[in-house]
This record gives sequence, C-alpha cells and structure tokens, in this order.
Amino acid sequence: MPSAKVEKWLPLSTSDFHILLSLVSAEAHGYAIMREVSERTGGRMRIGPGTLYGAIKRMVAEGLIAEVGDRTDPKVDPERRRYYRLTPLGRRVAAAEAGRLAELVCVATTKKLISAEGLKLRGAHS
Amino acid sequence: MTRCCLAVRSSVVVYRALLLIYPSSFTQEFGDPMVRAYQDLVEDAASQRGLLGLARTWPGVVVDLLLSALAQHWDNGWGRISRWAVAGFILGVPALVFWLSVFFDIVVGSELARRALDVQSTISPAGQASLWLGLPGLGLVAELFAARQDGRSALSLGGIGVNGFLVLAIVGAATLRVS
Repeated sequence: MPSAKVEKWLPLSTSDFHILLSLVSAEAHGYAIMREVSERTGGRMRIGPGTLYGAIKRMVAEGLIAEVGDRTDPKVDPERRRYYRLTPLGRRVAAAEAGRLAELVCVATTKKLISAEGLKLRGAHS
Repeated sequence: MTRCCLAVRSSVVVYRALLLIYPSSFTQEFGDPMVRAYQDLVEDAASQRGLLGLARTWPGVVVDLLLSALAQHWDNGWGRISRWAVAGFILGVPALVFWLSVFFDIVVGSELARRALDVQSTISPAGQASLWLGLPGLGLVAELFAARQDGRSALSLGGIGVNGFLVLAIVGAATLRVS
C-alpha cells in the first residue's frame, strides 16, 4: 500500500504507537517489544502478550508491520521466535503520529503549559 | 527442580490452558508466540524478584487475557458466544486471580496472604463458604448453562475449566483442612 494516506491511521492508540516505535531501529520479537515499551516508559506502561499479538495481527493485516521470514538462526535462537519489522507505510504512519504529537507539544509550549527548558530536562532524563 | 523453576513451568502450563478463551483461529496463529512471550516474561520476573515477582505478573496478565480475548471475539463477530459464558468468566476469573495471588503470596509468606487469612478467620462458616465458593460456583453454573444452551464453545469450555478447577481446589483444600 505505498500510496495509502497515512492520516487514515491517525491518531494511533498509545500502545500501537509504542509498538511501532519499538520496531523503528530494528526488527524484534514479541517479548523484546514488550520489554522495550516497559523500559522506555519506566514501567508505567506494560503491554501483555494478548494485547501485543492482537495489535500485531491487526497491524500486519493493515500493512504497517510485517513478519520477518527465516530471520532466526536455530543456533542463536533455538525457540525460533517470530520477528517483526516496520514496513515503509508503518514508518510513515509512525512519523506522522510523532509529528502530530510534536505539534501538540508545540501548542502546549506556546501556551506556557510546559517550558522548553523542562522539555530539555525530560529529554536528558529519558 | 527449584521452587521458582516449578512455579515458572506451572504458570506457563496454566497460561497455555487459559488461551482456550480466545477464538481458535487466533490461537492457531498466535498461541505459540504468546506462550513464548509469556514464558520470557515470567522467567525474567522470577530471575529478578523470585516467586513474588512471578506472582505479581499474574493480575496484569489475566486482565490482559480477558480484555484481549473479548476484543478478538468482538472482531470475530462473537461467533456462538452467549451472555451466560461471558457472565461465567466475569464471575469466576477475578476469583481465580485473587486466590492465585493469595496462593503465591502464601508460598512467599507475604502480608497480603496473612491479611486474607486473618479476614477469613473472622467470618462465620456460612460466610466463608460463600466467600470461597460463591463467585466460582455461580460462574460454573453459568458456564454449564451456556454449554447446554448454546453448544460447547471454546469460551464456555474454558469457563467450565477455570471455575471447575477453582471449586475443586477450594473443596479439596477445605477437606484436607477438616481432616
């Protein structure tokens, strides 16, 4: 679906956005995604296996992510976990969602709800 | 086999059994990776915080199971699920979560288990019976009714398993205590 309009997927649910974010830098298996989301949010958000694979089923069907075929070396990973990667469409949707959130943060900063200094501090801590 | 290792293996077996509540098309495709992800989760929790860490994963995992199973059944157009089968789960599964948490807490000797047992000792025998058996008993009746009315769906069979297991475990524990 290379020409699909990304707006149709926006706004993404928080869990969907976190799952896509986990796949931006590298392909990953289910538990690696769960662990990264938990670590990134300092344990405030935990995705269970049911929610994760429900989202994976939907996002694979929509073409946002894809299963990676024959990724695992049996010597490295004898359990043969399933790995997933972001598709070009998934990357565009994730980028559009990030842009949408950035615009909101901009508005909040303009209205002095949060300070730019505070944002820098947060970025340094995370 | 250590206590922790045994608890991890038992948890994985129970988790695999609970996947019965999903539509079969979903578990055929994602059952194995879900069990694998769950096993990784409990192994990590047990290695970091022992049995208490493992016990603390259960409430969140059961809520995740229930909500995502309902979402999958919703996506499937509900199939042949009746309100009785859903009611049975709503009655039985929270009770199972609570007593499993207390059970794991007894194993690690926590404050929660001590308080639960303290509360129990202050209640009359009739009150105790309804506290222990009320929810899963009603859940079992609802699931049996659902299976009879609407045929044996995976959800009603899973509900009979969950509620029946709980009722048998409670009756068995009470019998042992009396004898």
